[in-house]
Amino acid sequence: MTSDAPAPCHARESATEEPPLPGRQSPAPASRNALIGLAGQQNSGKSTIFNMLTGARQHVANYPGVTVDKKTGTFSVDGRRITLVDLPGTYSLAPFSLEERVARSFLIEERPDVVANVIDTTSLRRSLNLTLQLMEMGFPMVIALNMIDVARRRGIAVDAAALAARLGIPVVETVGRKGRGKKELRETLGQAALSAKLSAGVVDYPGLDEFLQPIESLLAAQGDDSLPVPRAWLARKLLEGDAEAERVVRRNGLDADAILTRARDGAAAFRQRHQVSVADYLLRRRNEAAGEIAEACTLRKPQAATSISERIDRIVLNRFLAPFFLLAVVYAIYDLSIIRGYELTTITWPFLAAFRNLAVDLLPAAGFLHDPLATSLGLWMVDSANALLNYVPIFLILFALIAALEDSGYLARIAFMMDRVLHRFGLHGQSTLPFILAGVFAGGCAVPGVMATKGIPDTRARMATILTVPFMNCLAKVPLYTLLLNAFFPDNKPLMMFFIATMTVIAALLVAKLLTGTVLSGVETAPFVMQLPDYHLPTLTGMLRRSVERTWLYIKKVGTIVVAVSVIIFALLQFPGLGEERNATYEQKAESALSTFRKAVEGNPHVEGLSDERLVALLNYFTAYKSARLNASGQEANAAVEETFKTRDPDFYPFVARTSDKTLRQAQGALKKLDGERKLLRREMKEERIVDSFLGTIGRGMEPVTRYAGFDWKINVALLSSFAARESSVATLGVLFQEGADEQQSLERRMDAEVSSAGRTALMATAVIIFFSLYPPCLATTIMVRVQTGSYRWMLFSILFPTALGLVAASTVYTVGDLLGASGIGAMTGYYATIATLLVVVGLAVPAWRAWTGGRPLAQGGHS
Amino acid sequence: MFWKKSGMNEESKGRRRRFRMRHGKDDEQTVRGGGGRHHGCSLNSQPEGCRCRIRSVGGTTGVRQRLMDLGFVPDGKAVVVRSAPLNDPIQVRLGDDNVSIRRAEAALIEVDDDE
Repeated sequence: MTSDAPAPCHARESATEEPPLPGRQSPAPASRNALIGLAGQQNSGKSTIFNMLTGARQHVANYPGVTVDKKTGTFSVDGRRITLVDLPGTYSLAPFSLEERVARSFLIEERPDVVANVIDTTSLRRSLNLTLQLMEMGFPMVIALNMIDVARRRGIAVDAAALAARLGIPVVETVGRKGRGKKELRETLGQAALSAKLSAGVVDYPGLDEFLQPIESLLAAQGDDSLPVPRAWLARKLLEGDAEAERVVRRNGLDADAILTRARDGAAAFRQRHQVSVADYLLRRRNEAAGEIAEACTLRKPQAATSISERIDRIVLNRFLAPFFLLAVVYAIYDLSIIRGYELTTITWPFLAAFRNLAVDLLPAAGFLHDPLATSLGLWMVDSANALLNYVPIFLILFALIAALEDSGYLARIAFMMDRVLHRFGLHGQSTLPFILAGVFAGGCAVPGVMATKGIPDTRARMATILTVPFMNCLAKVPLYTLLLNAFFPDNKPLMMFFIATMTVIAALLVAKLLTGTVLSGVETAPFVMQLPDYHLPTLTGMLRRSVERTWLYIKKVGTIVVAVSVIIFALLQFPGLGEERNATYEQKAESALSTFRKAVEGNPHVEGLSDERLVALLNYFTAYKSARLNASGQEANAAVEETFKTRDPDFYPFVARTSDKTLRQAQGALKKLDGERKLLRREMKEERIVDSFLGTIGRGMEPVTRYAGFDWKINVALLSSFAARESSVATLGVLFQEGADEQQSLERRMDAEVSSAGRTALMATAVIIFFSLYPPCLATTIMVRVQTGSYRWMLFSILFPTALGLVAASTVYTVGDLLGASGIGAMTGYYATIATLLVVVGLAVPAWRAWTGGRPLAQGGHS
Repeated sequence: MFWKKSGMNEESKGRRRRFRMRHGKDDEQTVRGGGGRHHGCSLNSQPEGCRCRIRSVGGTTGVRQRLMDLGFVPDGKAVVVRSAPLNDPIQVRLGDDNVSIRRAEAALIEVDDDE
């Protein structure tokens, strides 16, 4: 190739005249699989087209190295397999946002055989902006003119034939939501893959030629045959100073320095001549062309004065009514998913419990005192998995409702309303949803909360959201709060509940402000410019599909890791285990319990000749029966349980069945007593094991630090184990505060008594509550933080920072409160007043009008 | 048409006064041009319901790209639909599209009155 390179702007050239692209394979033979990239702007209905084309054959993964979802699906046309890749929704292909960069590098590196471009017919001009950029990259292209039904309702008719002629690209009319145009689109895509007819740029850039020419000839002279992009495109991008274009040059072994120098010189010369940068010039020309093409291809009927969406907005976004609608919607989500979903778990829980019972049956049988390791570890893992799976109904509802919110268009309005407040603290309008999910009111889950930050386009605000969402009161924090409130603040419960519910939001806002001002200050930020799409009625299938998809993702990503780490926690709680001496003591106790039992049933024909081994089996049978009865509700279920256990072991069944036989009842009574003894011994052993366990040692080792917050080692162990899953904090405390369990005292009473006798007060409870409210995210959430930030360092930060913060806050409150002799409620009030004041000070520090007029000379220029 | 136009101006002046009271004296400059067409006002200073024509889009290339991607293009028409319940951001209609934009970024867009 020599310097007679093709003109930079093949304006109005028919696509067939375009010279074949250097370095590209010849058209794919019909037998080969084809790769198609699906590109389109946000809200263009791209995902509905994706679902329409591929049906259920989809696979979600991440683009390499980033946290952007990469959806892949397959379908076939004329016996040819086509892989469809859903590119991130972008308004253009500029290098300014992550999604845009991801989409572009996919196009450059993977070189799909066809690019399918979904266009929102209702805003053709804006959509064409992307189309024109795609065309300049030289792909066989097909346009899906989507949402024609909505456009038609609004009196907009786009002439598809004219558009196709104008662009030199086949155009197919579609309605993704209703599956219309599926067959045509598939066939057109298949044909495009066969013909491999490349698109060509249709935008004129007069005056740019002379600056492009030197770069192009240099590229040609260096032999750019292997370049994956058209030469004209590359030259233009180099002139724009685009980093990705520079990378392309470097990667392909060209003399980058010479080319880049020439590009920089050219750009400077252009700027001097035209008083505008190349990037700006291209942007403007493309926009003009888009406007002109859109104008020429659109027929517009005179419209009704106000659209339905606008009429809804007048009420929903009304200054005075808006807060009520917002609260109503948020409350409805909370009620339907958290409250109702929790009720649903009472229906689903028996299945999980049955699963556990099944595991009990399958695993090796328990001994009298000791369980085989496989059994205890297996059950521990089943329990961890169950704790997680128990939330599945909640998530299914939650995700379905969020999908409905997104599809309806109200989510964008929520962001619109909340942005003012959130932006002040370094967050973003779109941070609202993550916070709601994580539990602005007590009861949510940080995992979906962190997941939902995906949509926030401003990276800095997104990071701040990810790191503060875990402060919200998730469902699993509630039991500990309830426990502490009942034990220490029986008279001030409502006030404390109010403090707890609101102080987490305050803390999150303050921390977000702190982080964006410090560690996050260098992170990329973006202007808040967001489409407010028209209201749509969400479709049921769309809601269900998304809900199942996201829930499955949650189970897959979080489930596997939680089960894996639960094993580690198990080991930390289980080992090194009891010494030989202690074991012998317990063996002795077990012996005596057994001999007491034997004595009690002496001469009883039912127990006569029962070996020790059979006796343990009987005890296990007894335990399994009781747990099954507990799990079953209603007469039918009870009858079923009876039936099962009758067939399972007819010899043992008489011991659990109702009977009037005197000797049998005597045996049953003795067995019950023995079972109680056994349970007590096992619990004592468990407590001793935990005390001496690695985790217990760590908890005691932390006492010198945590004592300033008033935490003893028991609290430490509970807090440590709650890192695996919040629920376990209460369970661990239950094991640790054993004394008095026999007298049927509630855990609240026991804790209160023990802590008071140790000379401590409700002040400690306040410190625990404050620490717990700032406590690092649970394991599952940290994994999600890792997934969403794409970095282990941020994950580590999300664990260490809140720990330090919580410890400092709790220690300060405890120490100061102790010095002043404050009561628990007094200390809490003081803490609350302090952070609330801080919130007001930080929030009002910069008046609103100064924030948007100050420091921006451009804003005031040109007034005089 | 002339009477209609002056009527509109009266109305918008009233709104602007209210607007100014809410936001302090920094808006003084935008009001100064008061009587006739306001050349070179920013979109931020336009009252609700105001129709205008975009003259130029400022800011860094990245910001400008984003604004233009969403339809804030020179010579395009924009209607200020409403401000959010807390006054910031504002909702702007561009053709058939509704776009939300913070006042800080709206201040980067210069507009002329258009009626």
